[in-house]
Amino acid sequence: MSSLRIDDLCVSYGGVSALRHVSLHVEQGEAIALLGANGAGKSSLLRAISGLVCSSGSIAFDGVLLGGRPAASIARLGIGHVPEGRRLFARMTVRENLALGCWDIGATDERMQGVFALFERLRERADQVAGSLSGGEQQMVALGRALMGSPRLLLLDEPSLGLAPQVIAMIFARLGEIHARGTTMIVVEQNARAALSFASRAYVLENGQVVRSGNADDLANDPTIIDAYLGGVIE
Amino acid sequence: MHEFGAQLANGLALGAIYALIALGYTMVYGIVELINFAHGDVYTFGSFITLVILTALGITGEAHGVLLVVAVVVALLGSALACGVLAILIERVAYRPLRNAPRLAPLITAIGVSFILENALQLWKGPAPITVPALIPNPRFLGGTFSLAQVSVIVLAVVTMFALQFLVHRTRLGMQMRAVAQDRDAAALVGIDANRTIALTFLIAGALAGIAGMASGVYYQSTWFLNGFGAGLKSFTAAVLGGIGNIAGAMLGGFCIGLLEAFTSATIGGQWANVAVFTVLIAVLVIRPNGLLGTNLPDKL
Ligand SMILES: Nc1ncnc2c1ncn2[C@@H]1O[C@H](COP(=O)(O)OP(=O)(O)OP(=O)(O)O)[C@@H](O)[C@H]1O
Ligand SMILES: [Mg+2]
Repeated sequence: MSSLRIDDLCVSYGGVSALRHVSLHVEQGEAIALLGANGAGKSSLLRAISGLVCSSGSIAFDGVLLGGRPAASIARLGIGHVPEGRRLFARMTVRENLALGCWDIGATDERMQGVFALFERLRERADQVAGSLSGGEQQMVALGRALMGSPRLLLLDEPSLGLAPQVIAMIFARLGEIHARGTTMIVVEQNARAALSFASRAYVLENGQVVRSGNADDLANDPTIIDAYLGGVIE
Repeated sequence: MHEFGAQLANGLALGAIYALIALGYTMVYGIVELINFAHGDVYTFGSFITLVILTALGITGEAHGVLLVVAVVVALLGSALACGVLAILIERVAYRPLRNAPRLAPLITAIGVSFILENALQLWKGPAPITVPALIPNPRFLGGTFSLAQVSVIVLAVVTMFALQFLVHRTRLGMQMRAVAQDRDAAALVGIDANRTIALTFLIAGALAGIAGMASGVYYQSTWFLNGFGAGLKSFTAAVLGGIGNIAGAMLGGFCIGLLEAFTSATIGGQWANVAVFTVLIAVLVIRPNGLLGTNLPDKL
Protein backbone atom coordinates (compact mmCIF):
# COMPACT_ATOMS: atom_id res chain seq x y z
CA MET A 1 0.00 0.00 0.00
CA SER A 2 2.71 2.50 0.92
CA SER A 3 3.81 3.59 -2.49
CA LEU A 4 5.21 6.91 -3.53
CA ARG A 5 4.60 8.55 -6.87
CA ILE A 6 6.44 11.69 -7.90
CA ASP A 7 5.54 13.51 -11.10
CA ASP A 8 7.29 16.41 -12.76
CA LEU A 9 8.75 17.67 -9.48
CA CYS A 10 10.62 20.98 -9.57
CA VAL A 11 12.37 22.67 -6.66
CA SER A 12 14.22 25.94 -6.73
CA TYR A 13 15.87 28.09 -4.12
CA GLY A 14 15.32 31.76 -4.86
CA GLY A 15 15.52 31.32 -8.63
CA VAL A 16 18.31 28.72 -8.59
CA SER A 17 16.77 25.45 -9.62
CA ALA A 18 17.77 22.35 -7.68
CA LEU A 19 15.37 19.80 -9.16
CA ARG A 20 13.96 19.86 -12.68
CA HIS A 21 11.02 17.76 -13.80
CA VAL A 22 11.84 14.75 -11.69
CA SER A 23 9.49 11.78 -11.90
CA LEU A 24 9.95 8.58 -10.00
CA HIS A 25 8.01 5.95 -8.16
CA VAL A 26 8.62 3.63 -5.27
CA GLU A 27 6.43 0.60 -4.81
CA GLN A 28 5.21 -0.79 -1.52
CA GLY A 29 8.00 -2.64 0.28
CA GLU A 30 10.70 -1.57 -2.15
CA ALA A 31 14.09 -0.13 -1.20
CA ILE A 32 15.49 2.23 -3.78
CA ALA A 33 18.76 4.11 -3.92
CA LEU A 34 19.23 7.67 -5.03
CA LEU A 35 22.70 8.42 -6.33
CA GLY A 36 24.33 11.58 -7.49
CA ALA A 37 27.27 13.88 -7.03
CA ASN A 38 27.38 16.72 -4.49
CA GLY A 39 24.73 19.26 -5.31
CA ALA A 40 22.83 16.93 -7.64
CA GLY A 41 19.63 17.53 -5.70
CA LYS A 42 19.31 14.35 -3.65
CA SER A 43 18.59 16.07 -0.36
CA SER A 44 16.28 18.52 -2.08
CA LEU A 45 14.22 15.60 -3.35
CA LEU A 46 13.83 14.11 0.13
CA ARG A 47 13.11 17.54 1.62
CA ALA A 48 10.43 18.13 -1.01
CA ILE A 49 8.77 14.82 -0.13
CA SER A 50 8.78 15.77 3.56
CA GLY A 51 7.42 19.23 2.86
CA LEU A 52 10.49 21.07 4.12
CA VAL A 53 10.90 22.89 0.80
CA CYS A 54 8.26 24.18 -1.58
CA SER A 55 7.97 22.32 -4.83
CA SER A 56 5.83 22.18 -7.92
CA GLY A 57 4.63 19.03 -9.59
CA SER A 58 2.94 16.28 -7.66
CA ILE A 59 3.92 13.90 -4.90
CA ALA A 60 1.44 11.24 -3.90
CA PHE A 61 1.88 8.91 -0.94
CA ASP A 62 -0.57 6.03 -0.92
CA GLY A 63 -2.71 8.08 -3.26
CA VAL A 64 -2.70 11.11 -0.95
CA LEU A 65 -1.32 14.25 -2.56
CA LEU A 66 1.29 15.85 -0.29
CA GLY A 67 1.42 19.23 -2.04
CA GLY A 68 0.70 22.12 0.31
CA ARG A 69 0.66 20.00 3.47
CA PRO A 70 2.84 21.22 6.32
CA ALA A 71 5.87 19.06 7.08
CA ALA A 72 4.57 17.99 10.47
CA SER A 73 1.41 16.55 8.94
CA ILE A 74 3.37 14.73 6.23
CA ALA A 75 5.46 13.07 8.92
CA ARG A 76 2.29 11.95 10.65
CA LEU A 77 1.05 10.29 7.46
CA GLY A 78 3.81 7.76 8.04
CA ILE A 79 6.86 9.21 6.29
CA GLY A 80 9.99 9.02 8.43
CA HIS A 81 12.98 11.10 7.40
CA VAL A 82 16.51 10.69 8.72
CA PRO A 83 17.97 13.99 7.57
CA GLU A 84 21.42 14.72 6.24
CA GLY A 85 23.73 15.51 9.13
CA ARG A 86 21.36 13.69 11.54
CA ARG A 87 19.90 16.87 13.03
CA LEU A 88 19.42 15.49 16.53
CA PHE A 89 18.15 17.67 19.34
CA ALA A 90 21.70 17.93 20.57
CA ARG A 91 21.02 19.29 24.04
CA MET A 92 18.38 16.71 24.83
CA THR A 93 18.91 13.16 26.00
CA VAL A 94 18.73 10.11 23.77
CA ARG A 95 15.50 9.13 25.52
CA GLU A 96 13.96 12.55 24.85
CA ASN A 97 15.05 12.48 21.22
CA LEU A 98 13.41 9.11 20.78
CA ALA A 99 10.26 10.06 22.71
CA LEU A 100 9.83 13.10 20.49
CA GLY A 101 9.75 10.81 17.47
CA CYS A 102 6.56 9.15 18.68
CA TRP A 103 3.28 11.07 18.56
CA ASP A 104 1.21 8.07 19.55
CA ILE A 105 2.07 8.64 23.21
CA GLY A 106 0.71 5.30 24.42
CA ALA A 107 3.10 3.43 22.13
CA THR A 108 6.23 5.31 23.20
CA ASP A 109 7.64 2.77 25.68
CA GLU A 110 7.05 -0.21 23.46
CA ARG A 111 8.61 1.42 20.42
CA MET A 112 11.55 2.68 22.43
CA GLN A 113 12.22 -0.87 23.56
CA GLY A 114 12.11 -1.84 19.90
CA VAL A 115 14.74 0.78 19.08
CA PHE A 116 16.91 -0.37 21.99
CA ALA A 117 16.60 -3.95 20.76
CA LEU A 118 17.86 -2.82 17.36
CA PHE A 119 20.66 -0.67 18.81
CA GLU A 120 21.70 -2.08 22.19
CA ARG A 121 24.24 0.70 22.48
CA LEU A 122 21.51 3.28 22.89
CA ARG A 123 20.05 1.57 25.92
CA GLU A 124 23.23 2.33 27.87
CA ARG A 125 23.32 5.85 26.50
CA ALA A 126 19.62 6.59 27.06
CA ASP A 127 20.12 9.39 29.57
CA GLN A 128 23.14 10.93 27.89
CA VAL A 129 22.81 14.18 25.99
CA ALA A 130 22.62 13.39 22.26
CA GLY A 131 25.25 15.96 21.31
CA SER A 132 27.84 14.11 23.37
CA LEU A 133 27.52 10.82 21.46
CA SER A 134 29.89 9.52 18.81
CA GLY A 135 28.93 9.96 15.17
CA GLY A 136 27.82 6.36 14.84
CA GLU A 137 25.73 6.52 17.98
CA GLN A 138 24.15 9.75 16.78
CA GLN A 139 23.21 8.09 13.51
CA MET A 140 21.57 5.30 15.51
CA VAL A 141 19.56 7.88 17.45
CA ALA A 142 18.56 9.65 14.23
CA LEU A 143 17.39 6.37 12.77
CA GLY A 144 15.72 5.36 16.03
CA ARG A 145 13.93 8.70 16.26
CA ALA A 146 12.47 8.21 12.77
CA LEU A 147 11.46 4.63 13.63
CA MET A 148 9.60 5.86 16.71
CA GLY A 149 6.97 7.26 14.37
CA SER A 150 6.45 3.77 12.95
CA PRO A 151 6.91 5.00 9.38
CA ARG A 152 5.67 3.08 6.35
CA LEU A 153 8.09 5.00 4.15
CA LEU A 154 11.57 5.80 5.43
CA LEU A 155 13.75 8.45 3.77
CA LEU A 156 17.44 8.14 4.58
CA ASP A 157 19.80 10.96 3.65
CA GLU A 158 23.38 9.69 3.65
CA PRO A 159 23.17 7.39 6.67
CA SER A 160 26.81 6.40 6.21
CA LEU A 161 28.18 9.95 6.23
CA GLY A 162 31.37 10.20 8.23
CA LEU A 163 31.14 6.73 9.75
CA ALA A 164 33.74 3.97 10.02
CA PRO A 165 33.30 0.95 7.71
CA GLN A 166 32.20 -1.42 10.48
CA VAL A 167 29.59 1.06 11.66
CA ILE A 168 28.35 1.53 8.10
CA ALA A 169 28.02 -2.22 7.73
CA MET A 170 26.12 -2.41 11.00
CA ILE A 171 23.76 0.44 10.05
CA PHE A 172 23.01 -1.17 6.67
CA ALA A 173 22.43 -4.51 8.37
CA ARG A 174 19.85 -2.87 10.63
CA LEU A 175 18.29 -1.09 7.67
CA GLY A 176 18.02 -4.52 6.06
CA GLU A 177 16.09 -5.81 9.10
CA ILE A 178 13.77 -2.81 9.05
CA HIS A 179 13.20 -3.28 5.34
CA ALA A 180 12.53 -6.96 5.82
CA ARG A 181 9.67 -6.03 8.18
CA GLY A 182 8.00 -4.28 5.27
CA THR A 183 9.12 -0.66 5.46
CA THR A 184 9.47 1.04 2.10
CA MET A 185 12.73 2.96 1.78
CA ILE A 186 14.59 5.57 -0.22
CA VAL A 187 18.31 5.69 0.54
CA VAL A 188 20.40 8.63 -0.59
CA GLU A 189 24.08 7.79 -0.60
CA GLN A 190 27.49 9.03 -1.60
CA ASN A 191 28.57 5.53 -0.75
CA ALA A 192 27.08 4.13 -3.96
CA ARG A 193 28.49 0.66 -3.44
CA ALA A 194 26.69 0.22 -0.11
CA ALA A 195 23.50 1.71 -1.51
CA LEU A 196 23.45 -0.40 -4.67
CA SER A 197 24.00 -3.61 -2.78
CA PHE A 198 21.21 -2.67 -0.38
CA ALA A 199 18.58 -1.41 -2.82
CA SER A 200 16.78 -3.27 -5.57
CA ARG A 201 16.48 -0.28 -7.88
CA ALA A 202 18.24 3.04 -8.18
CA TYR A 203 17.86 6.48 -9.72
CA VAL A 204 20.83 8.65 -10.64
CA LEU A 205 20.47 12.41 -10.35
CA GLU A 206 22.64 14.90 -12.16
CA ASN A 207 22.12 18.65 -11.96
CA GLY A 208 18.64 18.18 -10.62
CA GLN A 209 17.50 15.71 -13.26
CA VAL A 210 17.09 11.96 -13.33
CA VAL A 211 19.67 10.76 -15.85
CA ARG A 212 19.58 7.03 -15.21
CA SER A 213 17.37 4.57 -13.44
CA GLY A 214 17.14 0.85 -13.29
CA ASN A 215 17.89 -2.33 -11.53
CA ALA A 216 20.56 -1.88 -8.83
CA ASP A 217 22.61 -4.85 -10.05
CA ASP A 218 22.59 -3.57 -13.62
CA LEU A 219 23.71 -0.13 -12.51
CA ALA A 220 26.43 -1.60 -10.29
CA ASN A 221 27.91 -3.29 -13.34
CA ASP A 222 27.46 -0.38 -15.72
CA PRO A 223 30.85 1.07 -16.75
CA THR A 224 29.69 4.71 -16.73
CA ILE A 225 28.21 4.32 -13.25
CA ILE A 226 31.32 2.53 -12.05
CA ASP A 227 33.39 5.32 -13.43
CA ALA A 228 31.33 8.13 -11.92
CA TYR A 229 30.15 6.74 -8.61
CA LEU A 230 32.03 3.58 -7.74
CA GLY A 231 35.54 5.00 -7.93
CA GLY A 232 36.26 3.40 -11.29
CA VAL A 233 37.32 0.08 -9.83
CA ILE A 234 35.42 -3.14 -10.40
CA GLU A 235 35.63 -5.41 -7.41
CA MET B 1 19.20 47.61 60.27
CA HIS B 2 15.47 48.15 60.06
CA GLU B 3 16.05 50.20 56.92
CA PHE B 4 18.08 47.35 55.47
CA GLY B 5 15.23 44.92 56.10
CA ALA B 6 12.72 47.26 54.50
CA GLN B 7 14.82 47.69 51.37
CA LEU B 8 15.42 43.95 51.21
CA ALA B 9 11.66 43.43 51.22
CA ASN B 10 11.11 46.17 48.63
CA GLY B 11 13.89 44.87 46.42
CA LEU B 12 12.75 41.27 46.51
CA ALA B 13 9.14 42.18 45.75
CA LEU B 14 10.17 44.46 42.89
CA GLY B 15 12.61 41.79 41.71
CA ALA B 16 9.85 39.18 41.79
CA ILE B 17 7.79 41.27 39.37
CA TYR B 18 10.80 41.82 37.09
CA ALA B 19 11.47 38.10 37.28
CA LEU B 20 7.92 37.19 36.21
CA ILE B 21 8.18 39.52 33.21
CA ALA B 22 11.73 38.35 32.42
CA LEU B 23 10.51 34.74 32.26
CA GLY B 24 8.29 35.72 29.33
CA TYR B 25 11.10 37.46 27.47
CA THR B 26 13.31 34.45 27.97
CA MET B 27 10.70 31.89 26.90
CA VAL B 28 9.94 33.74 23.68
CA TYR B 29 13.58 34.44 22.93
CA GLY B 30 14.39 30.81 23.61
CA ILE B 31 12.02 29.53 20.96
CA VAL B 32 12.03 32.19 18.21
CA GLU B 33 15.10 34.29 19.05
CA LEU B 34 12.96 37.39 19.11
CA ILE B 35 13.09 40.18 21.66
CA ASN B 36 9.38 40.69 22.07
CA PHE B 37 9.34 44.43 22.74
CA ALA B 38 5.57 44.37 23.15
CA HIS B 39 5.91 42.11 26.20
CA GLY B 40 6.11 45.01 28.67
CA ASP B 41 2.85 46.41 27.32
CA VAL B 42 1.15 43.05 27.68
CA TYR B 43 2.14 43.34 31.33
CA THR B 44 0.48 46.77 31.52
CA PHE B 45 -2.62 45.27 29.92
CA GLY B 46 -2.62 42.73 32.77
CA SER B 47 -2.74 45.45 35.40
CA PHE B 48 -5.62 47.15 33.55
CA ILE B 49 -7.54 43.88 33.32
CA THR B 50 -6.93 43.35 37.04
CA LEU B 51 -8.45 46.76 37.73
CA VAL B 52 -11.46 45.87 35.58
CA ILE B 53 -11.93 42.57 37.41
CA LEU B 54 -11.59 44.08 40.88
CA THR B 55 -14.03 46.82 39.95
CA ALA B 56 -16.48 44.26 38.61
CA LEU B 57 -16.21 42.36 41.91
CA GLY B 58 -17.05 45.60 43.72
CA ILE B 59 -13.70 45.73 45.48
CA THR B 60 -12.49 49.19 46.40
CA GLY B 61 -9.97 48.46 49.16
CA GLU B 62 -8.60 45.64 51.31
CA ALA B 63 -10.60 42.44 51.10
CA HIS B 64 -10.75 39.67 53.70
CA GLY B 65 -11.58 35.98 53.99
CA VAL B 66 -13.38 34.30 51.13
CA LEU B 67 -13.71 37.51 49.16
CA LEU B 68 -9.94 38.05 49.29
CA VAL B 69 -9.25 34.55 48.01
CA VAL B 70 -11.87 34.80 45.29
CA ALA B 71 -10.64 38.23 44.21
CA VAL B 72 -7.00 37.13 44.05
CA VAL B 73 -7.77 33.95 42.13
CA VAL B 74 -10.16 35.56 39.67
CA ALA B 75 -7.88 38.54 39.06
CA LEU B 76 -4.81 36.31 38.58
CA LEU B 77 -6.53 33.87 36.25
CA GLY B 78 -8.43 36.55 34.37
CA SER B 79 -5.36 38.67 33.83
CA ALA B 80 -3.24 35.67 32.86
CA LEU B 81 -5.85 34.48 30.38
CA ALA B 82 -6.45 37.90 28.83
CA CYS B 83 -2.72 38.56 28.46
CA GLY B 84 -2.08 35.07 27.12
CA VAL B 85 -4.70 35.57 24.43
CA LEU B 86 -3.32 39.02 23.61
CA ALA B 87 0.19 37.57 23.25
CA ILE B 88 -1.08 34.86 20.90
CA LEU B 89 -2.83 37.49 18.79
CA ILE B 90 0.34 39.57 18.62
CA GLU B 91 2.35 36.56 17.52
CA ARG B 92 -0.21 35.59 14.91
CA VAL B 93 -0.54 39.05 13.40
CA ALA B 94 2.91 40.60 13.79
CA TYR B 95 5.49 37.85 14.09
CA ARG B 96 4.31 34.69 12.36
CA PRO B 97 4.07 36.25 8.89
CA LEU B 98 7.74 37.24 9.32
CA ARG B 99 8.90 33.86 10.61
CA ASN B 100 11.31 33.40 7.72
CA ALA B 101 12.15 37.06 7.18
CA PRO B 102 15.52 38.52 8.24
CA ARG B 103 15.82 38.80 12.01
CA LEU B 104 15.54 42.59 11.99
CA ALA B 105 12.03 42.59 10.50
CA PRO B 106 10.11 41.07 13.45
CA LEU B 107 12.18 43.21 15.80
CA ILE B 108 10.79 46.29 14.08
CA THR B 109 7.22 44.99 14.11
CA ALA B 110 7.69 44.23 17.82
CA ILE B 111 8.51 47.88 18.44
CA GLY B 112 5.51 48.84 16.31
CA VAL B 113 3.17 46.57 18.27
CA SER B 114 4.52 48.08 21.47
CA PHE B 115 3.60 51.60 20.27
CA ILE B 116 0.16 50.44 19.18
CA LEU B 117 -0.55 48.81 22.54
CA GLU B 118 0.69 51.82 24.49
CA ASN B 119 -1.56 54.12 22.48
CA ALA B 120 -4.52 51.79 22.80
CA LEU B 121 -4.01 51.59 26.57
CA GLN B 122 -3.81 55.36 26.75
CA LEU B 123 -7.04 55.72 24.76
CA TRP B 124 -8.66 53.26 27.12
CA LYS B 125 -7.67 54.68 30.52
CA GLY B 126 -6.17 58.07 29.77
CA PRO B 127 -2.64 59.37 30.24
CA ALA B 128 -2.70 59.77 34.03
CA PRO B 129 -1.71 57.20 36.68
CA ILE B 130 -4.62 55.04 37.80
CA THR B 131 -5.25 53.78 41.33
CA VAL B 132 -5.73 50.05 41.82
CA PRO B 133 -7.57 48.93 44.99
CA ALA B 134 -5.24 47.81 47.80
CA LEU B 135 -6.94 44.39 47.99
CA ILE B 136 -4.26 42.64 50.10
CA PRO B 137 -4.52 43.34 53.89
CA ASN B 138 -1.36 44.32 55.65
CA PRO B 139 -0.22 41.76 58.24
CA ARG B 140 3.56 41.77 58.65
CA PHE B 141 6.06 38.93 58.79
CA LEU B 142 9.63 38.48 60.06
CA GLY B 143 9.61 41.15 62.74
CA GLY B 144 7.38 43.40 60.72
CA THR B 145 9.80 43.65 57.80
CA PHE B 146 7.73 41.99 55.06
CA SER B 147 4.11 42.82 54.29
CA LEU B 148 1.68 40.13 53.19
CA ALA B 149 1.61 41.67 49.72
CA GLN B 150 5.41 41.45 49.44
CA VAL B 151 5.54 37.86 50.65
CA SER B 152 2.74 36.92 48.23
CA VAL B 153 4.46 38.50 45.25
CA ILE B 154 7.79 36.81 46.04
CA VAL B 155 6.21 33.41 46.64
CA LEU B 156 4.14 33.78 43.48
CA ALA B 157 7.25 34.45 41.38
CA VAL B 158 9.24 31.57 42.85
CA VAL B 159 6.38 29.09 42.53
CA THR B 160 5.78 30.23 38.94
CA MET B 161 9.43 29.72 38.09
CA PHE B 162 9.42 26.17 39.42
CA ALA B 163 6.18 25.44 37.57
CA LEU B 164 7.77 26.72 34.39
CA GLN B 165 10.91 24.64 34.93
CA PHE B 166 8.67 21.62 35.37
CA LEU B 167 6.71 22.45 32.23
CA VAL B 168 9.78 22.95 30.08
CA HIS B 169 11.82 20.01 31.34
CA ARG B 170 9.28 17.43 32.41
CA THR B 171 6.28 17.63 30.13
CA ARG B 172 5.74 16.68 26.53
CA LEU B 173 4.83 20.23 25.57
CA GLY B 174 8.07 21.45 27.15
CA MET B 175 10.02 18.83 25.26
CA GLN B 176 8.37 19.95 22.03
CA MET B 177 9.17 23.56 22.85
CA ARG B 178 12.82 22.71 23.33
CA ALA B 179 12.82 20.67 20.12
CA VAL B 180 11.38 23.56 18.09
CA ALA B 181 13.88 25.91 19.73
CA GLN B 182 16.82 23.69 18.83
CA ASP B 183 15.94 22.66 15.28
CA ARG B 184 12.63 23.61 13.70
CA ASP B 185 13.05 21.40 10.61
CA ALA B 186 13.99 18.37 12.66
CA ALA B 187 10.98 19.05 14.90
CA ALA B 188 8.71 19.15 11.85
CA LEU B 189 10.14 15.81 10.68
CA VAL B 190 8.93 14.20 13.91
CA GLY B 191 5.47 15.65 13.46
CA ILE B 192 5.72 18.65 15.76
CA ASP B 193 3.57 21.57 14.63
CA ALA B 194 5.94 24.51 15.19
CA ASN B 195 3.18 27.10 14.75
CA ARG B 196 1.15 25.54 17.52
CA THR B 197 4.16 25.12 19.80
CA ILE B 198 5.27 28.71 19.27
CA ALA B 199 1.72 30.00 19.83
CA LEU B 200 1.55 28.07 23.11
CA THR B 201 4.89 29.58 24.14
CA PHE B 202 3.47 33.04 23.54
CA LEU B 203 0.35 32.06 25.49
CA ILE B 204 2.49 31.07 28.46
CA ALA B 205 4.72 34.14 28.21
CA GLY B 206 1.66 36.37 27.99
CA ALA B 207 0.05 34.64 30.96
CA LEU B 208 3.22 35.26 32.99
CA ALA B 209 3.06 38.95 32.05
CA GLY B 210 -0.59 38.92 33.13
CA ILE B 211 0.35 37.42 36.49
CA ALA B 212 3.06 40.06 36.87
CA GLY B 213 0.62 42.81 35.89
CA MET B 214 -1.91 41.65 38.48
CA ALA B 215 0.79 41.35 41.16
CA SER B 216 2.31 44.75 40.54
CA GLY B 217 -1.06 46.50 40.19
CA VAL B 218 -2.23 45.18 43.54
CA TYR B 219 1.16 45.57 45.25
CA TYR B 220 1.86 49.14 44.12
CA GLN B 221 -1.84 50.00 43.98
CA SER B 222 -1.27 51.92 40.80
CA THR B 223 -0.61 51.56 37.11
CA TRP B 224 -0.68 53.68 33.95
CA PHE B 225 -0.48 53.16 30.24
CA LEU B 226 3.33 53.33 30.12
CA ASN B 227 3.79 51.10 33.17
CA GLY B 228 5.33 48.36 31.07
CA PHE B 229 7.85 50.55 29.29
CA GLY B 230 10.34 50.90 32.13
CA ALA B 231 9.45 47.61 33.77
CA GLY B 232 9.78 45.84 30.42
CA LEU B 233 13.19 47.32 29.80
CA LYS B 234 14.38 46.41 33.28
CA SER B 235 12.99 42.89 32.97
CA PHE B 236 14.58 42.40 29.60
CA THR B 237 17.83 43.51 31.23
CA ALA B 238 17.17 40.96 33.97
CA ALA B 239 16.76 38.21 31.38
CA VAL B 240 20.04 39.19 29.70
CA LEU B 241 21.81 39.52 33.03
CA GLY B 242 20.73 36.01 34.05
CA GLY B 243 21.45 34.57 30.59
CA ILE B 244 18.70 34.97 27.98
CA GLY B 245 16.89 31.72 27.27
CA ASN B 246 17.60 30.46 30.77
CA ILE B 247 14.62 30.18 33.13
CA ALA B 248 16.51 30.20 36.43
CA GLY B 249 18.67 33.00 35.01
CA ALA B 250 15.62 35.19 34.38
CA MET B 251 14.57 34.74 37.99
CA LEU B 252 18.05 35.42 39.35
CA GLY B 253 18.45 38.46 37.10
CA GLY B 254 15.07 39.79 38.18
CA PHE B 255 15.88 39.56 41.87
CA CYS B 256 19.36 41.06 41.35
CA ILE B 257 17.96 44.07 39.54
CA GLY B 258 15.09 44.54 41.99
CA LEU B 259 17.48 44.52 44.95
CA LEU B 260 19.98 46.76 43.21
CA GLU B 261 17.27 49.26 42.36
CA ALA B 262 15.83 49.26 45.88
CA PHE B 263 19.17 49.69 47.63
CA THR B 264 20.46 52.31 45.19
CA SER B 265 17.26 54.31 45.59
CA ALA B 266 17.47 54.12 49.37
CA THR B 267 21.14 55.04 49.65
CA ILE B 268 22.27 57.19 46.73
CA GLY B 269 18.90 58.26 45.39
CA GLY B 270 16.22 57.04 43.00
CA GLN B 271 17.63 58.92 40.03
CA TRP B 272 20.72 56.68 40.20
CA ALA B 273 18.80 53.39 40.14
CA ASN B 274 18.91 52.97 36.35
CA VAL B 275 22.56 53.97 36.23
CA ALA B 276 23.38 51.31 38.81
CA VAL B 277 21.32 48.65 37.03
CA PHE B 278 22.95 49.21 33.65
CA THR B 279 26.44 49.60 35.11
CA VAL B 280 26.10 46.20 36.71
CA LEU B 281 24.67 44.75 33.50
CA ILE B 282 27.64 45.99 31.50
CA ALA B 283 30.12 44.80 34.12
CA VAL B 284 28.58 41.33 34.21
CA LEU B 285 28.43 41.04 30.42
CA VAL B 286 32.08 42.03 30.11
CA ILE B 287 33.05 39.20 32.44
CA ARG B 288 30.35 36.74 31.41
CA PRO B 289 29.06 37.62 27.92
CA ASN B 290 26.32 35.02 28.15
CA GLY B 291 24.98 36.27 31.47
CA LEU B 292 25.18 34.83 34.96
CA LEU B 293 23.72 31.41 34.16
CA GLY B 294 24.08 31.43 30.38
CA THR B 295 26.25 28.91 28.60
CA ASN B 296 28.47 29.20 25.56
CA LEU B 297 25.94 27.47 23.39
CA PRO B 298 23.47 29.72 21.64
CA ASP B 299 21.36 29.46 24.74
CA LYS B 300 17.89 28.34 23.96
CA LEU B 301 15.43 26.89 26.41
N1 LIG C 1 18.77 26.20 1.31
C1 LIG C 1 19.30 26.36 0.10
N2 LIG C 1 19.41 27.58 -0.44
C2 LIG C 1 19.94 27.76 -1.67
N3 LIG C 1 20.40 26.75 -2.44
C3 LIG C 1 20.32 25.51 -1.95
C4 LIG C 1 19.78 25.25 -0.66
N4 LIG C 1 19.83 23.93 -0.44
C5 LIG C 1 20.40 23.39 -1.53
N5 LIG C 1 20.68 24.33 -2.45
C6 LIG C 1 21.28 24.10 -3.78
O1 LIG C 1 20.50 23.16 -4.45
C7 LIG C 1 21.31 22.24 -5.15
C8 LIG C 1 21.00 20.82 -4.70
O2 LIG C 1 21.34 20.69 -3.33
P1 LIG C 1 21.09 19.37 -2.52
O3 LIG C 1 21.44 19.64 -1.10
O4 LIG C 1 19.75 18.87 -2.81
O5 LIG C 1 22.18 18.40 -3.15
P2 LIG C 1 22.66 16.97 -2.71
O6 LIG C 1 22.56 16.12 -3.89
O7 LIG C 1 21.96 16.54 -1.48
O8 LIG C 1 24.20 17.26 -2.39
P3 LIG C 1 25.15 16.61 -1.27
O9 LIG C 1 25.60 15.32 -1.79
O10 LIG C 1 26.28 17.60 -1.19
O11 LIG C 1 24.38 16.55 -0.01
C9 LIG C 1 22.74 22.65 -4.88
O12 LIG C 1 23.17 23.40 -5.97
C10 LIG C 1 22.66 23.53 -3.67
O13 LIG C 1 23.64 24.52 -3.68
MG1 LIG D 1 22.52 16.17 0.38
